[in-house]
Amino acid sequence: MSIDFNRASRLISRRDLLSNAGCGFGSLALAGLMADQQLLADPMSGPDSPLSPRQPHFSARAKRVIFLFMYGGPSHVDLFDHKPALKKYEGKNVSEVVDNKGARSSGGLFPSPYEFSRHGQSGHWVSDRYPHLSRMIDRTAMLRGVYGHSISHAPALFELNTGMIRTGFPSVGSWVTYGLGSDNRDLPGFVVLYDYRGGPIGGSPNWGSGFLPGAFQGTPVRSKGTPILNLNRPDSLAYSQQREMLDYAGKLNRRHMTGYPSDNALEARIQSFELAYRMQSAAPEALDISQEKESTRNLYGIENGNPGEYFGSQCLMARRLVERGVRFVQLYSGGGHGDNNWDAHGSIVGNHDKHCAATDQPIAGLLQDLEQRGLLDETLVVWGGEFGRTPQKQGGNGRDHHPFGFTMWMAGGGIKGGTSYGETDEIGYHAAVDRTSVHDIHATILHLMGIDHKALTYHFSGRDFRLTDVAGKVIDRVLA
Amino acid sequence: MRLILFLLSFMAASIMSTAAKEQAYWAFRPLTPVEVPTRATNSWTRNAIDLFVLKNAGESQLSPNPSASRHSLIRRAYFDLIGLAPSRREVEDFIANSSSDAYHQLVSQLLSSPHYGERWGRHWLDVARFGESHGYESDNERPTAWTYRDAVIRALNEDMPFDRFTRWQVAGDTLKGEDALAQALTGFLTAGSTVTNVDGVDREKAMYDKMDDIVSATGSAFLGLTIGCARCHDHKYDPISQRDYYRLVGFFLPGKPADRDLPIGDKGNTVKALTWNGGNTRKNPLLGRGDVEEKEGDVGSGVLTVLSPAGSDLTNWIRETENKSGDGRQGLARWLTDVDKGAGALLARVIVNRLWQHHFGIGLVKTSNNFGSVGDRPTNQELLDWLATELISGGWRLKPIHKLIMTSATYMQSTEWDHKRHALDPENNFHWRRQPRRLEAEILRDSIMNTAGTLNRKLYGPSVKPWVSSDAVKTGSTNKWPTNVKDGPETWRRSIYVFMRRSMRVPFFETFDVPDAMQSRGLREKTTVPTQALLLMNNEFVRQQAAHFARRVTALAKSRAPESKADEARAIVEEAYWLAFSRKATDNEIELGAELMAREGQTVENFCHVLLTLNEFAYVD
Repeated sequence: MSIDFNRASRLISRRDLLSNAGCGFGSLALAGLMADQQLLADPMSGPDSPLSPRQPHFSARAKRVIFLFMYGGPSHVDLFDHKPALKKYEGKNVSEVVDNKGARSSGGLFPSPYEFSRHGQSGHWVSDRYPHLSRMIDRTAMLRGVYGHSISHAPALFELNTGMIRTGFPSVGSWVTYGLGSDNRDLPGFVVLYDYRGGPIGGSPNWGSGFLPGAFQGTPVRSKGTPILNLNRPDSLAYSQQREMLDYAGKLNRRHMTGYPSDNALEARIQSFELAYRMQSAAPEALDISQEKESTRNLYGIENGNPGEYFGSQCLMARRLVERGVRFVQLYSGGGHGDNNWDAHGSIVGNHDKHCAATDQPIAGLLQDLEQRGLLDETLVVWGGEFGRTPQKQGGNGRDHHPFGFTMWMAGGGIKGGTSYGETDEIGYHAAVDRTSVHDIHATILHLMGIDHKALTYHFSGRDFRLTDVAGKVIDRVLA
Repeated sequence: MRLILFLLSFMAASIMSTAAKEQAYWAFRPLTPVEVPTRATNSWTRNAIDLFVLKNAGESQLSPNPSASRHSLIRRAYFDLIGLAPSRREVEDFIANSSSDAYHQLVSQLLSSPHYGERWGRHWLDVARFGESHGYESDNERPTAWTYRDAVIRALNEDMPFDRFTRWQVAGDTLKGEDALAQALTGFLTAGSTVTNVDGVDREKAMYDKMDDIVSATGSAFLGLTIGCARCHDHKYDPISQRDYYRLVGFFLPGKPADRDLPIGDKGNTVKALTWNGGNTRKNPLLGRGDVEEKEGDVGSGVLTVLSPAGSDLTNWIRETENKSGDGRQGLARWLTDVDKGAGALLARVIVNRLWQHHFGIGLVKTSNNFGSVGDRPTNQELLDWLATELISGGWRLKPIHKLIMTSATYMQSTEWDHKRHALDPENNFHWRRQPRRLEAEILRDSIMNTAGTLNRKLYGPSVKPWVSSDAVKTGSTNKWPTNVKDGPETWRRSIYVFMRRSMRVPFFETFDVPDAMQSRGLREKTTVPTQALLLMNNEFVRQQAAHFARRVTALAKSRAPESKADEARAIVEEAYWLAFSRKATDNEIELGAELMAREGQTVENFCHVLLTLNEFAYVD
């Protein structure tokens, strides 16, 4: 499956062909290369372009993904996983209730300071920190039995993004664009809107392409002020001149490449210039949310001084990007360190009040807006963080990192809203019923995109790698 | 047979005590003499490194490439050691030099260039998580922090033995207080981020965050260990207990950053330098779960148990033999560098691996900041240990190790590609070819200016703030960068002298993967994204440099008194290729370049601009 499916490897074989001519460039007839100029000048438009759209394995339920990443670790037991038993056990040691081997925090059990109630027809439990989202809750499939393998931010981030706790592996966005290409040749296929307070710990490997060709790595976009710097041509340069300069550069770069066949980085760099050239006209338009009606902006809570002002703008940009065919958009809520993200060690209320208010209306607005435009059916929205938080107390009134059982949700393309899958134990400590690994999450995302997670492979270092390694099962019960 | 050996060693291991087992981990073992393999000697090998490399490749048939051309070698050596391209004259002289040790001379000469310290100092500043502001929300500036950067450059330029370099960074003030460089190097302890604007219990938490920054950076930078993982609980993977962690905290708890007047200015004049001000040992509780509300006892100060001789307590030794009133950092410094009784063997392994990494792109241990059990095993442990031994026996001087590496056939080989060998070893673990190296952000910026002829090579001094687009400045949370800067010789300094503001990294650097200096970084990411291309195509700084480059080559071409416009264009291409790529342009390249400039509306500036964006400009063979 990989060989036929994988245009990227064809791309390599074109390069192989060039170098297999038996010699370096010196003896390869320039005429032959020039004849190929159309293709060489603009590799992104050729049949072998890594980002040109490709057919999925089977009929896809979703065409695009918006991944809402709550960086720092949102607390499942304070948002979506209602645990009344925590009241009963308040102050008790975890080990008196469940086996807690591997835990590092030994504070007493700590009931949520928030009120929970059931919402919608589904009756999903949601805490009072998410009033707007509660109204859209029937669109979501709750995954309350997710677990990960690391108690530290960076490896946990890597796991949710790449399936592995170590660096060096392609992110899910890279795998999806590798599998399907992108429907918009003028924008990157995989865009990351990182938080204005800084990138998540671990940085670019969270959206890196690992061993996949560099064209599939996420393009980070600043999310405050000017989203992409240097989008405007210098005044001294006309459009047609810049085009000629790029053609000239392409010619020289291609000749240079013949000395380094199969070098992903050099190839990716050539393509990045062509994409950059086209982004100059496409990106300002795509990211300009001032073009939106005021009613739409209000839906996302984008008003000056509103807590949702910033994340709402990001969500709206994300909608504009997927609307224009960008395959995978990842948004980070929270950045940098400490309480600038969801890492509520010191106080759940102090931290989560802020971040819930910042994301509630934007996320609800995004779901509603996508639905009104008929885009929700084909856009998969994923919500989650690198782990949940402990049911026991830490610091003053905070909670520690907790990978043993936490909540994520999905909505939109191919998801049966109002369903749920997985449960934690009575205090929210361990994923207990229908335990869901990150590989399962990834397998499900790929499945909804029409990709068989076992068949999407890339041959590297002597073996065929998959996003889901040797595991992963599609969560059938939440599919429409 | 292998299986039997494996079983035997497994059985032996299970009989050993836990401590002995932990100390038997490859990185914690003492350095024992490594025999240089001799059987592999052939016409390709140049020094011992090659023999280890060939031995490691073994029967894999991964025979390495022959030596690169002299053109490639000189450009490679220049970029590796000083981060700047050789001039045409330097290339031509080197190629004309028929002496058999021309290349050896070249390497020695570059090692004595003051730009060596700038190039390699930048590598160390990543490891030292060096920044010139507090970080976090308020991100106040530290106007005197540059003195640490200068001290690093100076120490490297004078080839200060690495053990001393290490000791002075953790305890220079008490070990040799009368030496300005020793004082300034303690800037290592103050280089990290600091939480500010906090009160009450948060103030104490912030203080422990600072301790964590120092202990973590010390562990990563010198020992390649993630000691910070033991702040809240015993380390999950490595034999580092929470008690070990807090005993290390004990060395720093009494001290704090402080400005000192030191005679390290331009002409030996006195300047304010940000240094570490130690204190007297004080009660040092362990924090249960890392929580300031859960203080337990007094653990004193001490070093990592796993890297200490059995049955001895170094803390006592420090107290008995050193001053009784200090904070014991001299003892920590000695322990870090003591090859027989302390962490010296690991220290040596970690630093020679860093040298290897920056010469080849990837270390013998790929995770150069993590030699622990989650990190990678060395791809060639014998070679790593041999290099570490060489370093120590050579008095811990780095320059001879650079020279050893750079005069090996392994380093000198060409980048030539081969499908068969690529299939066998796609990651080039066995060094069958040289991997082209991409210029880091700073070197790319320096090279643009060097090519344009604008680079101000002035050494040392306070940091500069070059022009940054107001769009980028606005993105910061407050006014973090002047918006009225006009670039000129004052700001066209080498990038190591650009002010490192944590909340406002210069976009050129941020876009090209310069780390955020929030923690020690051993290896940078190398991303390739269209925002980088946009920067090189449209950024005002790049455009301005292209204009300078154009003026420079036009003047050079005119000085050759061309007979016609077409002749002049050809001369321009020739001169530009020498400046940008240190080589002669081919006839065809001359034609293509002249053709571009002849098109309607095109200019010399546009032609020059293209060269600065090419793969050949960004990658060195």
